[in-house]
Amino acid sequence: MNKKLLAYISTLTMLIPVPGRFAYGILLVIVFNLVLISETLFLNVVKKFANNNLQTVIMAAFLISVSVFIRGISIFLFPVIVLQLGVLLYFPALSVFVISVMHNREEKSLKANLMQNIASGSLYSLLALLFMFFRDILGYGCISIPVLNGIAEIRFFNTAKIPVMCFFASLPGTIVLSTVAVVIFIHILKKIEIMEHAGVINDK
Amino acid sequence: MITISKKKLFQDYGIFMIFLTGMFLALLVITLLSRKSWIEGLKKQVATVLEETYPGKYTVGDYVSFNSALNVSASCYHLNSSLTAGTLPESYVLIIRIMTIYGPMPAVYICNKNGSVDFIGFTCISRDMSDQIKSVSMNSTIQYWKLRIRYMLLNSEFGKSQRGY
Repeated sequence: MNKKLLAYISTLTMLIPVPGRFAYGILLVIVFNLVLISETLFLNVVKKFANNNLQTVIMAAFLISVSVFIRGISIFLFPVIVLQLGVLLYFPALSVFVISVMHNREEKSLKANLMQNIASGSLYSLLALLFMFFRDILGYGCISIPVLNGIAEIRFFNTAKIPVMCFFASLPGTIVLSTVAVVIFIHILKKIEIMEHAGVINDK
Repeated sequence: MITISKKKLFQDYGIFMIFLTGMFLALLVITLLSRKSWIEGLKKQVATVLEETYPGKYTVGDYVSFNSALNVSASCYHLNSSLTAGTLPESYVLIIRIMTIYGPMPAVYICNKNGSVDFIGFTCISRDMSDQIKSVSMNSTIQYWKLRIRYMLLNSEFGKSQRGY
């Protein structure tokens, strides 16, 4: 449970300093998954030719390089979003690094590691997208999606006239929302644990 | 005692150096290729904000390179007048990432020929929310960046003409 919780918090942390738009959530989740999958594939290659001392250095250099590469590609599509997010585009690499350190994948095969990462990455991505979805609705009263050279909005109501709603668009409001999200996640994990102990579901 | 053969050591570090060089070259290529998209994409955003605030008054000119570490979080252009046709003397429009209580926002500023800097608005956000963020940040972040941009441009080519050397 602790590992799952830490991995979830690590994923959530990359979203806290980001403006509360669903569009940025989509972009960061895509970056997160790309970095996670490429890290898993590359780790398999690195293990074959590099000794243990070099592995961590190579992996750190690789994660940074992949992030810079994805940033470069993103500039072709969404230059203004890249300008706005700045260093925040490198946060998914940090989350992946934390998750990678927590999970011991030494003895598993590439396929097993890949499947595990895709499964856990999808779960965290879904939770992250839900988090950004609610931030966008509550804070900005709309749903935004990334389009070429900017973002498109589907507006539901004007939050600028409701000061309480504007609070959720701000960073302090995001911290409140993220705390609520962590509490809900802990509650869900506890319920799953109880069900596992009772034999209702099998985690193996 | 663990002994590592020199051959194995050279092999490991050789592969590591080749890997680092390869990555560096790939990043260099992608950075150089994306430069044009960066300049043109941000120019469109600046033009949109200017058109919303001053309809038909300004057009955005050529990209201006300025000597600052903020180059990676900003982009500067000549400001042209739509009315008089041609570049306004020593006037610039700049898009820059500024940190507000709502997170980082791309803000557009105009730097006039007399050295004064005016905030125009935020991009990628609706007008209502832009006004809301502006009202919260006007006396703090926006004001700070006005002074910072002025200082930054005074230390660049623009500043030389202002100072007369």
